[in-house]
Amino acid sequence: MSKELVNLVVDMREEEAVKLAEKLLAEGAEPLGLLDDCREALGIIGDRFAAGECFVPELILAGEMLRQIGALVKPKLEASDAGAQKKIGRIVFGTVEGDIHDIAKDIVVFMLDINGFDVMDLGVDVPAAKFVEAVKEFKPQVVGLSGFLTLAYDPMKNTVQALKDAGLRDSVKIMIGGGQMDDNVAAYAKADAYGKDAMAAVTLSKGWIGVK
Amino acid sequence: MPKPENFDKLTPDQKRKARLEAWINHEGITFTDPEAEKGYRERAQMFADAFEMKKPKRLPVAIATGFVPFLYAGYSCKDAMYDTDVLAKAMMKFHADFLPDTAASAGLYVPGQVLEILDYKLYHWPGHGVPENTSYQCAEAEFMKADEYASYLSDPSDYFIRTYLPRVMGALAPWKDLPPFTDILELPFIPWSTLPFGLPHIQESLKKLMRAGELSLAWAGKVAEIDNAVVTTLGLPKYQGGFSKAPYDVIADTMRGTRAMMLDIFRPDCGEVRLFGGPMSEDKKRRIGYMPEERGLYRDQKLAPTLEYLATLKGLSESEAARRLETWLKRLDLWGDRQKKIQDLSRGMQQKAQLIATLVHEPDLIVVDEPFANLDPVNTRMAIEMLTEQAERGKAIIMSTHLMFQVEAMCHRIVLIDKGRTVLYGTVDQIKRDFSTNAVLVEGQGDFQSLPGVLEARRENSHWHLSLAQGATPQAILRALAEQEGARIERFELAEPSLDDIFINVVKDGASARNGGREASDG
Repeated sequence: MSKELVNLVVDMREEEAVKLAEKLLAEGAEPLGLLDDCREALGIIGDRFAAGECFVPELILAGEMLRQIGALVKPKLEASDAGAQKKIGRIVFGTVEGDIHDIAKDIVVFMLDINGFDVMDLGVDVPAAKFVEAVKEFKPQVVGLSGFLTLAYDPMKNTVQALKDAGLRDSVKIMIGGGQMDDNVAAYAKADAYGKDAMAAVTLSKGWIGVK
Repeated sequence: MPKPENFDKLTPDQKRKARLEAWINHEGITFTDPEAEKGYRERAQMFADAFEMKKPKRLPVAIATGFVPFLYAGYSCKDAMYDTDVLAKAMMKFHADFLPDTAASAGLYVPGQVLEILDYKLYHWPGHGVPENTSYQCAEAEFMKADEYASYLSDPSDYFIRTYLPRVMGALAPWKDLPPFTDILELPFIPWSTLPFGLPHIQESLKKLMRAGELSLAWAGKVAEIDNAVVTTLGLPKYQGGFSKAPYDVIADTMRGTRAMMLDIFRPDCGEVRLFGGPMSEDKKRRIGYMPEERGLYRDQKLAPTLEYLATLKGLSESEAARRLETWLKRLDLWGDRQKKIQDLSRGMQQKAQLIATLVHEPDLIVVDEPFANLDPVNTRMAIEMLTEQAERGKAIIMSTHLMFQVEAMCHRIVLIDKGRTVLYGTVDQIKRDFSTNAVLVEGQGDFQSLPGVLEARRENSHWHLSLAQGATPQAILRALAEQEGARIERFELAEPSLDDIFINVVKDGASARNGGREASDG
């Protein structure tokens, strides 16, 4: 474990963090340990975000640092699944049909991933049928519907209905989020909850699968 | 809507009133019937009342229509952007059926054909990247690269023409091959600069642009017709003068994309900060003591806890901070006031407290901005002593001040900045030598006016100022004086200009250089 790496990531010192990770790896540091450091840093950043002490740009840069350090670590991990973190649950996530916005969705997926979820990201402009297919195949406990515009209200409602029609509604909890969403839209779409940001999505998901 | 003749002379409030008047009185609009005119006036009046914080007749309703008018009239969003007849029918039906208090403009539904011809990449629109019944949406990407800010800011038009537009519009991609228009300087340049416009791929792009222009023009005429019909037959006032984008939107949405822009916040585009022989780091920040000119103490907090808090921010433990502060507060005669709120201290006392906050963590680099402001002579002397003591202990001090005599007394080196540019830099001694005139100051008794090599002798208070001829040295003058019978010399020194004089000279020269050297040539 490198407290220095944790601090550099938390302090948004991208270049130095990546350089330090390179150096530690070259010196024979345990690759998984570096990922643990990143996760610890991301946890701190997530808490700060939830407390209103840092904001979306920090989340995005944190994701970028993790991506770069992840790319360094990957070749060092053995072919075995030693690198696979034990996942705490499965989530299908996507921006609903007709909406092509992905910035916020990507942040939510990233934070869910960091917090131990196995996330299937379906991308943007995802038709209801594709969500149904994914739920059948991936068997998630949670489905996340993202949308930025008011035009996403009906596709969200349609997606929830499609899951119901396919007999899958009771097997999943459904959360919605994005620019114009709120509790009223969640009620309109017959989703289980609205989450206002990435950390809310993590909290909701953890609550549903019974993990603290 | 004509404004009053004296419009330019009105106050902002009066201008606003005049604009609202002109709007309500609908100059330039002819209604199809008196009912429409009456309705228009009533609606406009309600908004005017609301703007002026008066209670309107009822709550006026202005709506952002989105693509609702088309879906409502049984058309698709795509129809709205590809068929101006649909645009006209749907907009009229929507306004006639719902009678909102304002007319929404058809100008929001831009012609899809124009976007297609230009191969516009920043947006997806109905039937072209998003479903036919979905509104157009921004599909931002990095149309400007991270290292292009300087290029964009130094010449936005050139950047748009030759870099941004070729990326964001496929039809204009060939423009990346155009030379800068500023190359067209004189006759010999003309053929080389116009030659690219003869190349087939450039010509093709220009033809597409011209075609897009024709279609946009025709569409704009139709939009004006539609909007006018809504206003004149239904009596709904138009309320949008235009629109613009905030700088953030331009960078984040139009050019860099939100994600990239947010990363740009953290990433330097050029240069680096180096301190103490290496890159800047969080730890090194603790080795800096900074005293801002605008004092930054919490006014409603007590003195000692505030200083302790600031010291712990610089890495001291609370006990160490308390121990050091006791010494400092006693030394600066603030010990008795340590439990007073900052706001109850005099400005001089606050100044001393700020100085303590700057020095308590024993920084290696001390930056002080006008450190002697508000201090009486006794405290000024104490502050000078404190800073001098730090300098003697090998700390680097950067002092910003306008008091030249203090610079002269305290500083080893000075940098003079005028209008953001360094105009003078060097050691104080060197600068004074550089600016010295060939003159000496002499005090005492004797004949100072007829010495060989003295051009002019001028009496200044108790001493004489002797201007020397070219080639004459102070040593020769001193020798001559020593040989003069009955002369008694009490003081003999090189006449150096004061830093005040140098400051004024340099700044004045800078100003005259900026004015095309007119003043310089006068003197």
